[in-house]
Amino acid sequence: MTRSARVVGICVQGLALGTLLSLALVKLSALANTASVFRYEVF
Amino acid sequence: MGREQNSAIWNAFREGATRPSWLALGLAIVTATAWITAANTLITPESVMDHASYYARGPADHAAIVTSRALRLASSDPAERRMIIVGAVANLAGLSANAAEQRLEELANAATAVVDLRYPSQTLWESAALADAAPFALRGVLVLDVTSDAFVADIRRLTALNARPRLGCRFAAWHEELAVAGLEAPPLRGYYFLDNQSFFLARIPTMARNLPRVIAGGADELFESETTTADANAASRVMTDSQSPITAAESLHVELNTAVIERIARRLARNSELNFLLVAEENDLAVTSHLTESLQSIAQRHDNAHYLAANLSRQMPAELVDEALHTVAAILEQSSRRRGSP
Repeated sequence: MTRSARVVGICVQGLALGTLLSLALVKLSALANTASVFRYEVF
Repeated sequence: MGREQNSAIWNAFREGATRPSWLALGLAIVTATAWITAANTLITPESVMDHASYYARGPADHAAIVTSRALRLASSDPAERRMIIVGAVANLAGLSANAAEQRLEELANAATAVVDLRYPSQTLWESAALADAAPFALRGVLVLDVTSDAFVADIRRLTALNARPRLGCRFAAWHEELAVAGLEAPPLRGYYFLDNQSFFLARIPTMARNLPRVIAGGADELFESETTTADANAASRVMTDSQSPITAAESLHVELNTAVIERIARRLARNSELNFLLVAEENDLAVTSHLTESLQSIAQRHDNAHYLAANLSRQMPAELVDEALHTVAAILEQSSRRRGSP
């Protein structure tokens, strides 16, 4: 029983980290996009 | 089950969920890949066209609804005659697409589909981008509803819109406008979701909430319904009217914004057979009389452009809408005669 609970815990951790990782990757690509925009805000 | 056993199970779960492990890391990589692949596969222009209400936060999410309509327009048959209306729902706030279609059929004796791409505080750059949704060689009229409010926008506004676009679609004119303003458009990757990520990331909770209804096959009532943005726009007009004309005139960027309208006219002549009708606010305030001349000169410079003065201090909104539809019908008739076809 405890072994199953541990596996479920690992799955929850993996799913949560994976979701956060996907959001971070998409956001990172957005940051890369807007870097050029900030450059032009100088003037 | 005893309390001790429960506690042992909870501790095992907590240990699995919190202690780093290769299995959790592998699962995280698989999950991230699956999410990104699913988003790029399922979120497509077609899905936004067909299920606007899935992406819309509600009936007032004009950006989502207009995105859906613009994508539909872009993939529509150019042989069908259309009246496309862009701008900030100002002078023609009383115009509704269905009523306009019926009236145009009466006036012009031919079916003309009306595509309403307006939403509150739409900048002229966004109007230019939406006007570019018209497929190549489309016939009809593009109506730009413009007031002095539209001339408040400056390069900082465009910069902000470039960083966080309101619309979930990008047309060539948007990139052209950014380039003219000296801004760099985010590169297109060829994946609709990634190319319009800020639009979709902002709507993740909405999409999660709407998922059961879409799976159940609920009707896309938002897309079918006509959204009028009159209330929101009325609020913004009250704000502008309360400014003194001198203060308002100082805050206008006439050259910058008239140049955008000029480019819309030029682009229409180049890419489509659409006529351009500029419905511009005219009243007794110094701020609008200053603009009138430059807007009228745009209409004079382009063969495909027409000008209609909108003076809501002397006209009822319904009268103005009817006058605009009469003008559209006359333009359609004139261009049909020139082409020798209905």
